[in-house]
Amino acid sequence: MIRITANTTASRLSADLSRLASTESRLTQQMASGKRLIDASDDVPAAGRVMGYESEKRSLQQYERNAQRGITDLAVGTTALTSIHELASKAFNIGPAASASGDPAQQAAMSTQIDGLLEQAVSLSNTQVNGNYLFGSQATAAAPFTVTRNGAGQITAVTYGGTGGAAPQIAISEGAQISTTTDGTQNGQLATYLNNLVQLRDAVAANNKPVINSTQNAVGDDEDHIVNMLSTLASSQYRIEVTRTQNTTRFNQLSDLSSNETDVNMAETIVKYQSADRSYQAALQAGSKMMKQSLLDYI
Amino acid sequence: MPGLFDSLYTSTNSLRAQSAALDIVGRNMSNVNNPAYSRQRVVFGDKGSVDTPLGAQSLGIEPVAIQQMRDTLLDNQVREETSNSELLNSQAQYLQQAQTALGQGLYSQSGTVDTISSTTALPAGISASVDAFFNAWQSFATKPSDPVNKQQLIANTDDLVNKVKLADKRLTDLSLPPPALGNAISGQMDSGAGQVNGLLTTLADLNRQIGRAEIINPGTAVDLRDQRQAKLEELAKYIDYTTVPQNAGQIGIKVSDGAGGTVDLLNLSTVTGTLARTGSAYQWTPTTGPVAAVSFAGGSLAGYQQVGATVQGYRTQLDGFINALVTKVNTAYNSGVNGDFFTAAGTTAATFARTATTATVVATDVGGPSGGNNRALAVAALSTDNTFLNGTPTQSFARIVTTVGQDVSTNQARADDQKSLGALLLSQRDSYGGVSLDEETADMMRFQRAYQASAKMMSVLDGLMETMMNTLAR
Repeated sequence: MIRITANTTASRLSADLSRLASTESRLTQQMASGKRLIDASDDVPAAGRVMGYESEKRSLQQYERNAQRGITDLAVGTTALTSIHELASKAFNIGPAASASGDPAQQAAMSTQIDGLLEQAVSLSNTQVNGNYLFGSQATAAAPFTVTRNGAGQITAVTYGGTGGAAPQIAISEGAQISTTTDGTQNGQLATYLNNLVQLRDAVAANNKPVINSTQNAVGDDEDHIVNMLSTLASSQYRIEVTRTQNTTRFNQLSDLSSNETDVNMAETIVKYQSADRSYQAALQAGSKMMKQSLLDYI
Repeated sequence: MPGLFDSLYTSTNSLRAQSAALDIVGRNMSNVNNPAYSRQRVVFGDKGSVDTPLGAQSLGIEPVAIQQMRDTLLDNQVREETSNSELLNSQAQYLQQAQTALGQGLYSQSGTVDTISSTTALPAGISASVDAFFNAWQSFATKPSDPVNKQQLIANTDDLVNKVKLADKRLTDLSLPPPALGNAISGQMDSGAGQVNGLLTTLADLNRQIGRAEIINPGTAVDLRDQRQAKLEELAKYIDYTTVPQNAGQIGIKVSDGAGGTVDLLNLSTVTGTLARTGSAYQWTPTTGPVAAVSFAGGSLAGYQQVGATVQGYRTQLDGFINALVTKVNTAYNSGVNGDFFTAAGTTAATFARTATTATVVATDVGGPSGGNNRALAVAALSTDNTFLNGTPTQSFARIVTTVGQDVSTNQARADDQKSLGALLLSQRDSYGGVSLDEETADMMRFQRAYQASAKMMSVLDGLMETMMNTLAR
């Protein structure tokens, strides 16, 4: 039988109270903060997982920012190309009327109309978003389409000054990169279209019917190229939207996983706290009663 | 047949004996809250006997010794476990600080994929700053000509550099070998060595007093032995050592030299030298003779040494991470014409620095197209490079954090176990040598009654003698 001394009782009670107070303090901190994990040492495997989850969430947020910028570029580019396509359709329709008309005044008016369409098309081809030219491929700092004018101020030639290769890409998810503008080859075809407009304008003004007819056909081909460019942008937009949906779903899943690891289960914690508090009170009552009793009281 | 005077003599002896026992009870009671005290008890013995016609007759009792209830084995175990406890406690304190030094908070970021809550808008911890650094390259890649993106990239880079440097500075304060001007750990080692020297001086003095007291009566200087045991246990908080019994109750103290030999610190009443720290190690400078290396495996002095080396290991891991970051980012960024993004020589956390500026940073090769972003994309792609170091950059840093976390957790668990073991040993020792007030009260009543009985016996004898004297007087 172990011999219990005055110090044994006091030191054991003190140690037990200290341990219970420590438990209560930890549970109170968890309830107040709503967090189960404060430091990595609280639950090392969980800490590693949480850091991974949160890192992936931050990456997904960056991909979302990239996607939003890409969507802006695509929307502006699509609007510009749609307008250019409309201009091409108008020019294409002017061709037959000009060919059929024998009235020089009417032909001059039509030529002026095509010239207006040309100016508008050149302007749209040099569309910018936040100071960056959309149709220069990787050359975004300077206007990609430059014009040469005659003494009357009319455009006589359009030159594409952008890069010829692939357009710049942006990352929209891990391992997925996408272009939000058209490439150099497609942009070069835009220059061809603009030069065809120059040729059509001059042919209409000169009532050069063979050239009008051949140029009209070329403009028709240009329309197809513009539609292809629009398709490229639409395809990119679709990919971005699909990826954004996947990213959002993944983000929400990661938020749940991370929350499960870090956030405290309030009901469970309250029950644990109440249990610890009861133990603390019981230890106090039993200890004080035991320490109060002494043989000295009976002599 | 014994006469009245013999009986009176016997009763007087009994009174002396009970009085001595009551004195010990009082001493025990007064030391009830003295943890260094071991209860004492009087050992009664027969004063002798004389041959009489009725046979051998006792001369009564006398207190032959004061016995101290002290178990040397338990004392040694308590001392050893005190060393082990302090080893872990000193490590726990600084490992926790190392974890804090890394500054890696754990939180679940609220908000959605396209919004960031205001409370978590700024990167928290190095892990988030690593992500912010690579995300800034992503933003830069989307709009290379946007000055805001360049500013953001440089700001996020500086944030990462500053956090890494700050973490390294904090860790340096906890690591060994210390810098030239010392650090927190070396300060603790110096302070601890000073405490050891002071305790050895006190122990030498107690040895001297015990030696004087026990040269004739071995084992009788019980109060001095209590004091010495308390000081030995205090010494065990700093170092682990072995004691060697010496003349007249004195003890010698030896420690390991780390090479299979021992070094005497205390011999009889002489402290043989001075303990001091040199760099990451301890050495004993004797009053005469060559300086000797000493090695501790327990106590806080060993704890500081071990935790200093452990934290230095964390610094090495952090340096490895920075080395990979600097090397791989520069390789991805510098085509030969761009220059380095990070200072190439800054491959440690302490020397980590940025070279590129908002004016010089480029998303593609210098001279390339204005909207080119191949270099920015290449750097950004490192964020998902599984061969970066130990997985991706974030995983590689997380490995450092979890290594520290695991060490803190393991140390805490060991410290808790050690605390339980220490409490159990103290309880066992207390059970044997501690003072129980109830027990002492019972003894007090026992000796009081015995004293009263002897006094009554004297009163009766006195009455008999008075009767006899009066009869003779008539």
